[in-house]
Amino acid sequence: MKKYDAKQQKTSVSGNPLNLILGGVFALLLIWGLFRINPYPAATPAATPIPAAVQVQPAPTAPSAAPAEETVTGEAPETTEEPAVPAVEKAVYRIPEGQTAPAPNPAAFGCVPVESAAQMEEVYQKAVELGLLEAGEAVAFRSDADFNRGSYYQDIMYYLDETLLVVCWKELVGGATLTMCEIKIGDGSQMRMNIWGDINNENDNNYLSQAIAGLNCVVAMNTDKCKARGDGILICDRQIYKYNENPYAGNLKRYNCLDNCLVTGDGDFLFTYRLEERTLEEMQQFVADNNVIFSMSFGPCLIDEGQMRTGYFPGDENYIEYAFGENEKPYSRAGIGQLGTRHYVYCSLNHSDEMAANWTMRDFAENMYARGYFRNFYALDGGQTAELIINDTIYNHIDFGAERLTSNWLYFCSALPEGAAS
Amino acid sequence: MTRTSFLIMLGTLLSFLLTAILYKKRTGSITAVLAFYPMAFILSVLFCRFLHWYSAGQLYRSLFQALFNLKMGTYSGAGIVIGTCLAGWITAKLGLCRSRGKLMDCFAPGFLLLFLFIRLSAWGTGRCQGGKNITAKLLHFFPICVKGTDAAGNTYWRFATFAFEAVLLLIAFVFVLKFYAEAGTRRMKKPAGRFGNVWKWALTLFSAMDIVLDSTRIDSLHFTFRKILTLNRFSSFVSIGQVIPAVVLLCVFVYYLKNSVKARGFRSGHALALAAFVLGLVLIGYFGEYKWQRLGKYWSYLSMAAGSGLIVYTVRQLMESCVKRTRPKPEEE
Repeated sequence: MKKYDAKQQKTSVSGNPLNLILGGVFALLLIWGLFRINPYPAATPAATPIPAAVQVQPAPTAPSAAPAEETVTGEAPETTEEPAVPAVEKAVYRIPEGQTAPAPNPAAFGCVPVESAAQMEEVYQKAVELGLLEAGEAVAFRSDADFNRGSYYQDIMYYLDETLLVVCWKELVGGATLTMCEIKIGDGSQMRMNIWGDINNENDNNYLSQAIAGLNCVVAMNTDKCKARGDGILICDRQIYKYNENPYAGNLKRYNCLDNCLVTGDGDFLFTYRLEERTLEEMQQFVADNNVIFSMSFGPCLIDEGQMRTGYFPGDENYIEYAFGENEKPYSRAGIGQLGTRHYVYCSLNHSDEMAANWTMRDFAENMYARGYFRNFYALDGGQTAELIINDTIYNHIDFGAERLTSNWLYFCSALPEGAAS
Repeated sequence: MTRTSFLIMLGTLLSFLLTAILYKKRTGSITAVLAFYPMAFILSVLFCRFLHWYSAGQLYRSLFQALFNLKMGTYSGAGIVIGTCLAGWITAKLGLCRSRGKLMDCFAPGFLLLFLFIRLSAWGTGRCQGGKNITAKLLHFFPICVKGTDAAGNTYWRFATFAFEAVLLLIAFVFVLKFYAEAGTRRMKKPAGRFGNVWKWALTLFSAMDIVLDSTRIDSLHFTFRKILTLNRFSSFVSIGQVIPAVVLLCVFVYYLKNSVKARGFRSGHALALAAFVLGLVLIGYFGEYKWQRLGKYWSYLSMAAGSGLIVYTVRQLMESCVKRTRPKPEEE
């Protein structure tokens, strides 16, 4: 190593060639940095603004849209029970598998202040008139709910066309904000799952707000971060991608240590429960027999066939600690349930400015069950993962105030062909 | 060239000039500074990019792309701490300066000045926003808050993390400069080194503020344990921007505790300092960060601020316990 020489070092900058070289290098680096170093690139532009409150128009006397590329025909026209409403011949639109959904109609989005929540009854009535909802069908939205008026996203947002009804609102439950999203689709093909990037690369993730670009979704939500976890089942486009039969703990195996939610082509939820034994071949047969399109793996399944399920909470008979979700701790929660045929409600309880979320999974289950309208209900990954986007706008308050990188999401889209009047 | 790039390079230049002036005044030469800065620049960029690639690898096709294609992606500021420390070590190893501690002491105020400009450069880019919404109108003023508009056209106010940190860095810069001026009159009890204390003090102040403010950021980078421990549930949970400052604080604390014990023998004050440091970490880590992530309560920030303040105080007390209380000899070169 070169020995330090104070005399040599104490020469002036210009008199020492080493200094000149080093100074030149540093100057070049500074100039280079001027054009290359930018740790704060401009933020991504805002998404499409939500239009102001849309006035609900009277229903058309007949569907004005042309059928989509693939139309299921032969169904009897559905009519409402009210004689004042003219009969509507219902066309059922389907989005072919593997094809991008048609873009939603911007005019079909609406926004209603909570002070005018009663206006939403007109929207639901319109959905009945369009044949999307059946007259008298149970819905989750109540105009007299205790709406959250504290955060800046207190407005009720909705989308309605002939094929899709989405209503998002926030209500207060014990001081905490519960974000709700009610969805009714005309066909099972409108409920889709998207997996980001390479399905086998667990590090290939994205933020939901960025990942949904081009999907033409009306509403999207995170589900289970399926690529990041080795447990449960992963089915996508009718193919099984994850089915690990190695032991998890006790009698549980990796694939059956969770309740798995399988979504069929008709938009129904099927469940495989913990400890249910199936070989991979049997599972493949099950998928084929039941027309299973994709799966969600988190759980537990809190309600099935209208009954609250047990075994997940301390004190329950046959209690086994659930693998995911920190069920016994007060925490944020999320889940999705089915009210009826192609009729769903997504719920997310997040940290909010008003009050931190404080539900155990049992609290969550009891609250959902007490609502009385769920045929089934399946818990999803809550906390920071839980995110709901409608019309490219993040609707719920995400825990810690920031999106999380995730790998897969559930989304709903309109099947109405682009350009067709709603 | 963007305004951000311009401000950062301006900060780098001012930092260099300040370091060169201080070092020239102390040693009569600036060769070491001229060698140190390009090295620190390159190493910092590489480490900043490496850390960002490690935490947000999905944004890059490969590590090579992350390190050398600077047109895309961004940086982790913690890499500057690693890059500058390594550059100081290499400069000394190359024989370009007699005392690494002396070089780093001269660099300490410039380090804070550089970070001040880096944080200031975020202003107006939309990246100054912290993750926390501020609803109290009383707090809606710069640099506490920054106004934004969401996609739906609603106005919101968020904590202006970087602007707030810039103010704190300015205060720390003044403190460190003052400490630098006083440091020449101090002699440490052996085996504590005479030089390097200003640098350690600057790192302590910087780490103590960064460990708290990282928690308010909307874009914190996290350790990914997936490949290491297969603890999937903890992935994207532990922040790099908090762990690296915590490690720095621990290193500084251990350094002064060890030297203080060697110089003065083990005393009850050392046990107290150890307890205070552990308490500080618990306040930051458990009652602050962990509880904040779980409960989102404002008191978590107060807990973190109290914890980091306690650690800073403890380090300073240990540092003082190493000072020789005699008339200092004239500085020799």
